[in-house]
Amino acid sequence: MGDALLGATLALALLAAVTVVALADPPAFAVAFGAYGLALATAWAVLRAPDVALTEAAVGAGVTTALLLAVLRRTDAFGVVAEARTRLRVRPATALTAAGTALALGATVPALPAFGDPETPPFRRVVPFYLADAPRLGIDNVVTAILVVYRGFDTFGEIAVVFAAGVAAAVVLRGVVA
Amino acid sequence: MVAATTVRLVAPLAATFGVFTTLHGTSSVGGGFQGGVVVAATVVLLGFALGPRAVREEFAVARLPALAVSGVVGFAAVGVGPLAFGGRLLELGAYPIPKPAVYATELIEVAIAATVAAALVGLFFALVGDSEAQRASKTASGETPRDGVPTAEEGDDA
Repeated sequence: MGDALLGATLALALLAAVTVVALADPPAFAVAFGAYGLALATAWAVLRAPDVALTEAAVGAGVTTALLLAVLRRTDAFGVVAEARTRLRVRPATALTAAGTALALGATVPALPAFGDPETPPFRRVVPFYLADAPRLGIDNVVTAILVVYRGFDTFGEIAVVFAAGVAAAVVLRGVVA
Repeated sequence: MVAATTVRLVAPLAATFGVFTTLHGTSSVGGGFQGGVVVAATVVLLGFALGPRAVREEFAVARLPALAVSGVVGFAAVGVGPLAFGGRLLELGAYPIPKPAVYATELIEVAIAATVAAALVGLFFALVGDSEAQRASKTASGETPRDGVPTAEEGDDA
């Protein structure tokens, strides 16, 4: 039952991705990209990762669509993009390369341990410690506890990267203004 | 019109949910990243529906870099604080308050949300904010003036 649901959401994501490539009109493919983000968020939710699902839904379905349309409006490229995408043709070599890469990567999937297997190294030692220690600290959401309390330095690095990326993008865009 | 009215109704609820998600990161699903992106998505949605110029002043978009900096500095401050109480860097249990890990985590979550939201909203407004000024300055032939290229003076054919 769970596998069928996961398969359905991934198939929906694949369908949305193909739709993004196939549509020519910029508002249309922006909305299709939002649908792709929503399908991915549903897949995360089915895989029991609600924090990631929330972030993916807000960023993939909300902000990315708005940014895409903002860029097209800023560069006045609606007509140009629509025309270029209407003339889009996929070469057989490109399709074969993409399919070959996908198959090669997919062939490595059976080598991965089963999802949630308790015998893998992280689940044997580290995860039981987190699960036992986080309630002792008073934090019920173990994911937040790992992010901030146990692995806080990595999260601090992430925040520094987000900050640097935002500042760099703003500086570059300010330099482009007429 | 429909979009503007709907967004005006939904935005306070969505923003409240974003703040709730940030502050409840320790006891329910959520945390700084989730709450920050939800708040950012709400502001971006408002800018999308109501027009960037109206939203830019209301939300003090020029102050966003200060908000982002305060997030990073706040996180660093909470991380360096335990050194003053005999603990190591980011050893949140060293604060001499009851349940130190929980409250320090909540402060850090707010800092994370501030930086993430400021970065995303700032990126959106940097992308979209000046397109109206560009549109207004288009010449009569419909071409957009390019950076650094002098356009024909308005009084040339007088």
